[in-house]
Amino acid sequence: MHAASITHIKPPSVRAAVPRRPAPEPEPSGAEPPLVATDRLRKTYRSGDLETEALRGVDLAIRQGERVAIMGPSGCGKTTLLNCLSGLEDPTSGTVRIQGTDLYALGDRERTRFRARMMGFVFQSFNLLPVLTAAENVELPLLVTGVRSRSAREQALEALRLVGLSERAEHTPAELSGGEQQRVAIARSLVHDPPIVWADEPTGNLDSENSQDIMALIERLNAETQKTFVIVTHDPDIAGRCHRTIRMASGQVVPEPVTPRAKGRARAAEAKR
Amino acid sequence: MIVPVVLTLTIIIGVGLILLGLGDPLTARLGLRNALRHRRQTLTVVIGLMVGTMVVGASLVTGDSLEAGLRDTALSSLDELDVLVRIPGNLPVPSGLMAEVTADPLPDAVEGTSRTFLGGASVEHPVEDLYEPSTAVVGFDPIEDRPFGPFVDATDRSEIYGDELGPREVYVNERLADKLSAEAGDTLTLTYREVFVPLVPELTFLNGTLAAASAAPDPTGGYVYQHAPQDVYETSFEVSRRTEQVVAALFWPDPFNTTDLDLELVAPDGRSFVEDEGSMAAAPAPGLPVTPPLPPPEEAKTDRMNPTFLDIGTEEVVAGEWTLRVHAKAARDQPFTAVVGVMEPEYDLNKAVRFYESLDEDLRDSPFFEDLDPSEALSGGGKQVNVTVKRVVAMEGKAVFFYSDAVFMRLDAAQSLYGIEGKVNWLKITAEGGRLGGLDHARSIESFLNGRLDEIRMSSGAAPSDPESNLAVDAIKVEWLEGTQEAASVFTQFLTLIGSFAIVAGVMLIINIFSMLAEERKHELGISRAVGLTRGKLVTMFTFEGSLYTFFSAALGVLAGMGLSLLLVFGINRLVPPDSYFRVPFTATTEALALAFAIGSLLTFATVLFASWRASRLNVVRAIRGLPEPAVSGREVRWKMPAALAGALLVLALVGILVESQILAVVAPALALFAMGPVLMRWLPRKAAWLMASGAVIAFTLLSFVLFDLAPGIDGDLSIAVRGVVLVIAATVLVVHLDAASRGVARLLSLSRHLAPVARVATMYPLHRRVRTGLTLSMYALVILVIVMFSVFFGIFTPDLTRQTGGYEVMAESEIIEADLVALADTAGLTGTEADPFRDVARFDTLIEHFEFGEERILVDGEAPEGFGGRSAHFYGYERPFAENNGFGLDEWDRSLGSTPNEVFERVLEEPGLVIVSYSIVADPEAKDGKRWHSGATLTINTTAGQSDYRIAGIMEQTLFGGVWMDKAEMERLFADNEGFYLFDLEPGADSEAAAKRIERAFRFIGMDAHSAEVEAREFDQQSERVFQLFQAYLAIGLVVGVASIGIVTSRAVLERRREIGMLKAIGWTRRLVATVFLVEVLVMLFAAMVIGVSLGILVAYLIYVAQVAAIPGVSWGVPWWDILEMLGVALVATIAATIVPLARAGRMSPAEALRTLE
Ligand SMILES: Nc1ncnc2c1ncn2[C@@H]1O[C@H](COP(=O)(O)OP(=O)(O)OP(=O)(O)O)[C@@H](O)[C@H]1O
Ligand SMILES: [Mg+2]
Repeated sequence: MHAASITHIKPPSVRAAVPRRPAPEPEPSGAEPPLVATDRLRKTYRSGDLETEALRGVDLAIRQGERVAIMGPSGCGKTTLLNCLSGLEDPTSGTVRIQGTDLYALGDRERTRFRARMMGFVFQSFNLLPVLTAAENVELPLLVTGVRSRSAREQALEALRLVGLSERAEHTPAELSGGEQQRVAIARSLVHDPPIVWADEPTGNLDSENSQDIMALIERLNAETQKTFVIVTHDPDIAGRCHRTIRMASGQVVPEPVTPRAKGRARAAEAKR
Repeated sequence: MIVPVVLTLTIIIGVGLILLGLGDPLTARLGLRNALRHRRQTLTVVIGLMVGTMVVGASLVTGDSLEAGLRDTALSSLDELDVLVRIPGNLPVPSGLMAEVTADPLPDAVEGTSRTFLGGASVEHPVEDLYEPSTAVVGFDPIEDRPFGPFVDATDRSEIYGDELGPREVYVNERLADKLSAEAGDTLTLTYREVFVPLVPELTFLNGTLAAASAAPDPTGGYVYQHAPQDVYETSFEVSRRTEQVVAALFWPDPFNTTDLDLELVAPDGRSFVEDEGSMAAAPAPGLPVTPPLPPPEEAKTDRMNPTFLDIGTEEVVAGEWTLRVHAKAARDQPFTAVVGVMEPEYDLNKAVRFYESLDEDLRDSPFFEDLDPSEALSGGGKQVNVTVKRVVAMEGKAVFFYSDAVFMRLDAAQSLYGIEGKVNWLKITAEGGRLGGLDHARSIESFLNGRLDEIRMSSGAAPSDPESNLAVDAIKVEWLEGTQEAASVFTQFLTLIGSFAIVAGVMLIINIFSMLAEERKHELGISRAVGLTRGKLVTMFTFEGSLYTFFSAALGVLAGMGLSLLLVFGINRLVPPDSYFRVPFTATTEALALAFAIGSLLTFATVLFASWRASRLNVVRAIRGLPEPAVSGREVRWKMPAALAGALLVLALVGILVESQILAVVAPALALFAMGPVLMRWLPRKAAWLMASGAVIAFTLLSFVLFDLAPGIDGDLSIAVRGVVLVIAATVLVVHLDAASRGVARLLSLSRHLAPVARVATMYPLHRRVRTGLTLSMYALVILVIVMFSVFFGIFTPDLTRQTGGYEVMAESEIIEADLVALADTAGLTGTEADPFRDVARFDTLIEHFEFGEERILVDGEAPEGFGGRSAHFYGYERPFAENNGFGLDEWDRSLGSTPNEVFERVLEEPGLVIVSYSIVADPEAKDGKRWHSGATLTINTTAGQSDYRIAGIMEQTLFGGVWMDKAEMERLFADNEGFYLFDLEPGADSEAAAKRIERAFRFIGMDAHSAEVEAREFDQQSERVFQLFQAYLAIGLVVGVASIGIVTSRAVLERRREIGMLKAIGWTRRLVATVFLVEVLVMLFAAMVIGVSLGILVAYLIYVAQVAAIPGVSWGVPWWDILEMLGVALVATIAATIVPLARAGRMSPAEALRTLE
């Protein structure tokens, strides 16, 4: 079939499949330790004489299955926080625990393995390898954990099916639209079944319709797989579709402003307890 | 002539750039700032760009150095000697004739002339038991030789001119003194051979009958003769030259009956010379008894003729009509013969021998012909003399004497030793102005002297065989230096040819670097275009940036080229055997450096322009959004242009065939085939189109080696280089479009669980960036191709010496020909002792050899052979045992003469007019079978006496003893001054080196110089090995370019793919895995380059071999796999070493930072 003839077929709408509804609350369990917990996390960048305090003592906890948005003005330290949480960047001080493991007590090699097993990533600019097909891109996290290529391919196709891109498995990123590319990236972040997915402005490069599609997809996956999504975003709509929002300013977490919806959620949580 | 053009062009471009910069300062500044902004990047770019200049610079400087070395050697060999007058072969000439040649007036430029004798001897230092077989003996006149400068005492550095030398005292130059460990005061023994000067008399006979006197018995028991009136018989003869000698003789049968035998010679000027034999039986007064009594006439009869002689000796000989008179009185009737011989100095032994043989025995034995005994000359007749070393003189000035081992003695002493009183064989002339002064004047002195010689020839009416006719003027220094320049420029050209591959590789690297720069800046450039920078300005900007790189890199390249050439010069000096005085001084002339700078700049600049133009054609939107260039296919394909191009190229090919340009004839069709690629895309998928086009190019180019006659056209060897480049590019295009291959590699790698994640990424990236991969690949492949090709050729042309030596293990030469070595050893009491020279000798053959200098000594079918035999010729004379036993094969022979080579060797002895020649005589590297002539051709040998024609019966395989092989007797008829040549066949397992030593030692008094063929072969091997290493070193420049470029490309790739690296690390790829991706990419590329380079290199070498080389005797096909493997190993290690830094950087890269970078 000619390449040009399939690009105009719209993929099946994810929105249609997943009704827009408030996200279910995560299992609140006080006894269970949080999936992600930080303790006075600090990060200071030094370039020459200039010091930038990107994080100034961040304490937070994220539970299993939570869909958390991180918001804040540009330059407040969101990406830095995400990088520190995911073990991409050593904090200057403080600790990050994931499932009780002190991330920075691990050596680089163990931490990398840990990341390969525990985390998936979605980036603002997709970061697919342009030389590989969608399926091959999705396979990458599997291959690194030693999955045989045949089963890797099966799982990758399954993940692509999950994000509604089965037909695009053999296309290279250049042949996909931005939204499609991001869905491939999401498939890649899920394919090895990690408990946590980090997403730094996943919709930053997409128009609002595509953004909503992506968010719907995340909501659905979160609901179906109980994975924890931590999403950095500037888009209040996106944040609105999360369980809660962590607000940041100048490298610190600021208390959540009391919104009616948040209040309701808080009350509900209180009542359950 | 090319130098000013290149320099001017460079200056024009420089000025143009400055003007352009002044006209558009903003753009210029932008460009310059770009260059300075990324220091590190700029550095890699500059280093990459400097390669071309480096190669050019190294070639030029090395060529200059070599020329300087050869020039120095020529100058110190000759020192003050500028022009030489002599008979080729150094035959002696009357000193007076030389004096005539240099009689006043001489041109002012002549500073001095010196009549000199040059002889040869073997020199022994008995006390030290050291011996040197071939030594020059120079006889000089201290006063005449003064203008040629002093000798310098090696010990006290005093300057001496030789006035102090006694007749048995010599100076020994340091070179010889070192070998003999001789010092002043030591006694040396010279073994030498007298110079044989055949004098051929021109005889005039006068026959008559003496009338008897009446005889009556004497009271004392004898007889009394009553004489009739005295008879006078006379004849006249011609003396044409003053240099001739006149001798007369009278023969009569009865020794006792003569009463008066006056023999008289009357010169044209009236002088009379008389021989009066009558005293023995002085004419008595009539009737008086004669005492002692004479026997009766019957008893006095004898068969032998009795001679009496008249030699005018040292009296002046005047040309003109002379008279011979016999005033005879005889006792009884008897015939007499008077003969006058005009002894003309003759240089043709052939004629002398024939004359000698025609004489009857009586005449032959007579002292009359003692000067004419050729048998003595042919058998040598070695003489010995002891001399005292007066001083050891330093190897400087005239003592260098052609860098030979030399003994200097007084001219008169040398003349008497060598038996040529009153004769010399060299007339040396020095021009004013020192060593170099001669260069300006030599030609004018040469033509003056030629004129002078013509005058002398005219006035003396010299015959062709006279010394006057054979004297030749040789502007030896000028000619030597011209030859030197030629040799050096051949070397430079060869280096440049090899270097041209490196230059092409360098150009590819430059294009690569610039296209990477452009790609990297694409975004930036796109924005610049979007905000209104015109395409022209973009080019200007890039050009300025590039010109800055160009300037720096050309300057650096010149420096690097100097460094490289320093290494090469060091290498060449290591090649020279330690006892040779030849040294190559590192010589970097300003011209060479300026030229290298200019060529390098032009090369780089052209590439920069091309790359800028390419960069300016970017699509603004795609550039800004970082989108890949779309693949075009089907109807969108622009096929008309390429099709037109292909047509134009085909026309160009026709032109190429017409003007006999190989490059055009081969490359134009190849490019036309390439151009068909885009045309084919109209119907075929892109990849298939390229695969077909590049496949066709490869097939055509390979075929061209076989189809086209490889006789070099106007562009010569360069066409091979160009074909190599075309092949490599086509193969690269093929490989980068061969996705199946990369999939195969990926599948192979995925077999390892560890490499599985790496496999796909690493194999897909090179295919993704086809242009860059292609450039890197073809550059590296080209380098490997060249190294492989040259390795193969070095292997092919390193001759197998055991096949060259005819099965003989020791070869020897001697000054003096000794026909019976066994008897000689016996006489010396050596037989059966430790020192027995024949201890391990199974059998041996005695031959003679002769070396002729001068143009056109031999001709084949009327033409002079090109290399060997053109300016000199070597002859070997053999006898039956050699013919029967030698193992020298024949490459081809006249089948009617015999069925085996040995039969042909024998036939040459039996049938007059046949010779065998070595391959080198008929060689023609450009002919299909490597030969210009074949058996059956006519070989003409020119001697001073005339020409002799022979038919070539066969052509030998060996090239070690290049020359004409013929019947020994025939050769003796041709040449007077032959030397001994011996070939020894040893018992199996014998130590050939020890045997050679014993042979040399045992026969040292005949000047024996023996060598082990095996050792010679080994040394030869080592020598060619070293030459090979030298060229390998030069080829390695290409490898450096290849390695550097992979290093640069990899570090660029790491930078470019930072975000991807960040992503991979984020999703859990370890450092090692990330580094492995890049490593595998490099290795895949390297491997592909190796496959292309090795296969094409061997293929091209094989095709050239088949087309040109295979027919050359003694050459066989072979691939030096170990050399190639070694080289590939080096390439592998070097490449990994060059990529270690970027690989480590990729591994260490912090994912957070990598992800943060914007595109
Ligand atoms: N490598 C670095 N070196 C120095 N300063 C840095 C570095 N990375 C980030 N910063 C600084 O740290 C601060 C936090 O940056 P960060 O990228 O985390 O902000 P952000 O909240 O993600 O902003 P945005 O919404 O624009 O993405 C900024 O002031 C930034 O300039
Ligand atoms: Mg950010």
